[in-house]
Amino acid sequence: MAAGADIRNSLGSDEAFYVPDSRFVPFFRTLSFRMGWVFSALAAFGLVDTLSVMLWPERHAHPWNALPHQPLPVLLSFLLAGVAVLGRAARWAQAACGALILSIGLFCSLHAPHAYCDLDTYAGWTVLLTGFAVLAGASRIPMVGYVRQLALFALFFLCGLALISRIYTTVPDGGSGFHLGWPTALMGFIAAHAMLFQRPEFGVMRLVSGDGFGCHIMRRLLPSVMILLAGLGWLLAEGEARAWYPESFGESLYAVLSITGFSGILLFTAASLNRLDKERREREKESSRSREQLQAILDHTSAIICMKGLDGRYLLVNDAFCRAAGKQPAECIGRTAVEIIPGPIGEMVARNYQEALRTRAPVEQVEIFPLPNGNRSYLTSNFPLLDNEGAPYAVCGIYTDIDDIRAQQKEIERLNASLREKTDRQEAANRELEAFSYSVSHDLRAPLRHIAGFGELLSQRSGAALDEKSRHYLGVIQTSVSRMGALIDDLLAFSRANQVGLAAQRVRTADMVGEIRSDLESMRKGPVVEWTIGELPDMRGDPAMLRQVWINLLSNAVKYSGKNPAPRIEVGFGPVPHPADAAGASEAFFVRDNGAGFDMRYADKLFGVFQRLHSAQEYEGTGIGLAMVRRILERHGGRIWANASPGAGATFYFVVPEADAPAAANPVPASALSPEGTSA
Amino acid sequence: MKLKNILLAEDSPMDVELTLEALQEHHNISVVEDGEAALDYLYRRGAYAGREPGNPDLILLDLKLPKLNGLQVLEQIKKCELLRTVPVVVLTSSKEQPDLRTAYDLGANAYVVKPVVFDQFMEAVRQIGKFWAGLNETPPRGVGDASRPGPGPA
Repeated sequence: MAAGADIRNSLGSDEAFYVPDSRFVPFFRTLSFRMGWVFSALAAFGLVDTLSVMLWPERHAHPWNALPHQPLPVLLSFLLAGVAVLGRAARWAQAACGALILSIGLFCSLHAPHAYCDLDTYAGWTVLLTGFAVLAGASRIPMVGYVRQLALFALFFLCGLALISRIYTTVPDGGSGFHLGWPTALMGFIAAHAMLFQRPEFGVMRLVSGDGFGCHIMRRLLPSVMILLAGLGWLLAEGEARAWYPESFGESLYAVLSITGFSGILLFTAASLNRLDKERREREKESSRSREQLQAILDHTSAIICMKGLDGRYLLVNDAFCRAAGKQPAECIGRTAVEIIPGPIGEMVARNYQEALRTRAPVEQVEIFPLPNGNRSYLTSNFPLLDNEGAPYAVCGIYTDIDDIRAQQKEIERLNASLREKTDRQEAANRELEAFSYSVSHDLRAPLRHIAGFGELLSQRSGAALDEKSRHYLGVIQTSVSRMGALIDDLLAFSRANQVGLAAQRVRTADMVGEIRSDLESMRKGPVVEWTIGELPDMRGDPAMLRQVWINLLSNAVKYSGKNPAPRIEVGFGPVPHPADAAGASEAFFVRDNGAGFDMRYADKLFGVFQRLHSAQEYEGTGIGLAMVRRILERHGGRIWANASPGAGATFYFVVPEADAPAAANPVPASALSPEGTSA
Repeated sequence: MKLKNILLAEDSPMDVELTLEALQEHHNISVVEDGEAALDYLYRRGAYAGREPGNPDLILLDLKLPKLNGLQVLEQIKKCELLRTVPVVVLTSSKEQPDLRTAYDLGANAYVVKPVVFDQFMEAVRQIGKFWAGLNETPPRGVGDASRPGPGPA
């Protein structure tokens, strides 16, 4: 196929016709090229043979003498014709070859018989016709082309007749009076085909090489009919000559075989036609579906899309176009813009179309259209559709309403500004809060210290002189001061838990819990707690804050189980008993004690700031601890909940992001972090 | 044993009283009420031009001082060639992390948060006195003395 492609490329420049869809044109070009080789080679061989016979001292003793010899002019002319067919691109060479062959033919026809050109009339005609066809092949004038085709058909007829009569009879001239040697006839036959296929897209040859049904049938019927008839003719002639059957029977046999053969060819052709027709219908269906799909896509976009032909009339419009124009599609197709929308809008659209057609390039701009319901901005894009030769055959226009987009952009900008403002306000509030915390931390503690200090000094100085009641009052003052100090510290810690930025590190939970447990043990007085600590996976988050969570939960467990004679605390990680509380998590950390517990009716108060379920006399504490735990866990994206009943202990469950990727972060040794103790 | 000199920079008279209660038995305490006065004392100028020469053995510095605050005073002290060897113990109510960090960055020798509870307060201040003006060897005389006329900020 590569050879065919090369030839097509070498010929592409001087094509008189362009049949873009036909894949047979290149095929016939290749065929003609190969035939050119065949008959050049035949002619060259004949030339060498004839010359050698002529020059051999004793002609009869020449080893090739048995071969039929041709007159030199005939061989020479066919050699030239072959060269002309092979060298089609050079038209002047073809014209020169053609002129030479033609003059050989003329000379020989006029001077026959002659010593060096003993051509008979038929051979003379063959050479004449070949020469004319080669010469005319150099011309691109259509009329010359048609005459050339006629000459080639004549050559085909002449040589075909000679060949057939040679095949059918044993008489040298076929008994027809034709004195055409079979090599000449064969070469003429091949030459006629080669030169016809040289221009497969011209004149009658279009019927053979085209893509239509007719061409398809032609390509099937022509060779079949030729072979069938030639074969049957041979059978008839041979049968009669050899007396296989009586003469009348031969004719009947010929007729019946012809009918049968033709019927077979016709049946085959009909089947093939039906198949082609079916394929065509399927293709049409496919293409119509594609068109429908395209139209559906076009109709469901908000942009106005249309296509106009070179005459400025619409070939295609979408729904958005019809809505904007207030017309039905049928009222738009085949009309111009000004006809559909008279006035300035139609003129603007027509101008865009002209501009795209003139520049042959996309024209994009933002235009304001004076629509009945007010001016609207459109991003208009008009671009020409170009055929294979770069010539425009239509212009496509896309009009996008950008007012909505602009409005949305403005809305986004407004929201952004308001968000910025809110963030600024938030930041200012945070700064204020920090300043407030600082003041509380520093200034609120000083007077407390003074009350405590001077109260103590007073009791040292005149404690002995005071009565019992006064000493009690002083005691109350001291206790309240301590409690106030604790409240301030806890409140500050709570406010810090809201403000401080979160680190995201891997935290070794088991180490952390172990350390907090031993700290609590060392501070504790009372019955020995029985600890059960299960497998604890690592957590991911802020180490100091997560430590605070564990400190608060574990110290609560120790505190509230303190009144049980055999306090038990269980720490672990396991399946969640009430998945509804876990917000999607299936496993959670838990801290369970067998202490005082609480009434689940008040569970919602448990995590509130300064909310307590036990009196300060019963269990000391400020009521900040669990509020802080909840805040820290929420900031980590986790949550906490509890399950308890009065007197039967409590279980606190919490979920916090797990450190699942072992190499994700450098684990922080729990001992590196200092606890900021807060009592719950 | 010779009484050690301690400079107490504290604006709250009540805190001064409590601190003196804890320390004056064993130490010689000078009190200044704001940051500027602290520097005046150290450089023996202004109201303190007539004081005995010599650097104090220890400076107890509150952070929330009028005029120049404690951190500014600390910065001045630690920047001055003649003063930077004097131990400075920050004695404050503030537990805030930024204060703590800045104080140490500027070269504070210790940072103590004043406890609210009286006994703890007394204990803390006494321990400070015991350690910094007792156990701890103060730099020898003559290493630097900002109170003598010579180089030093005006």
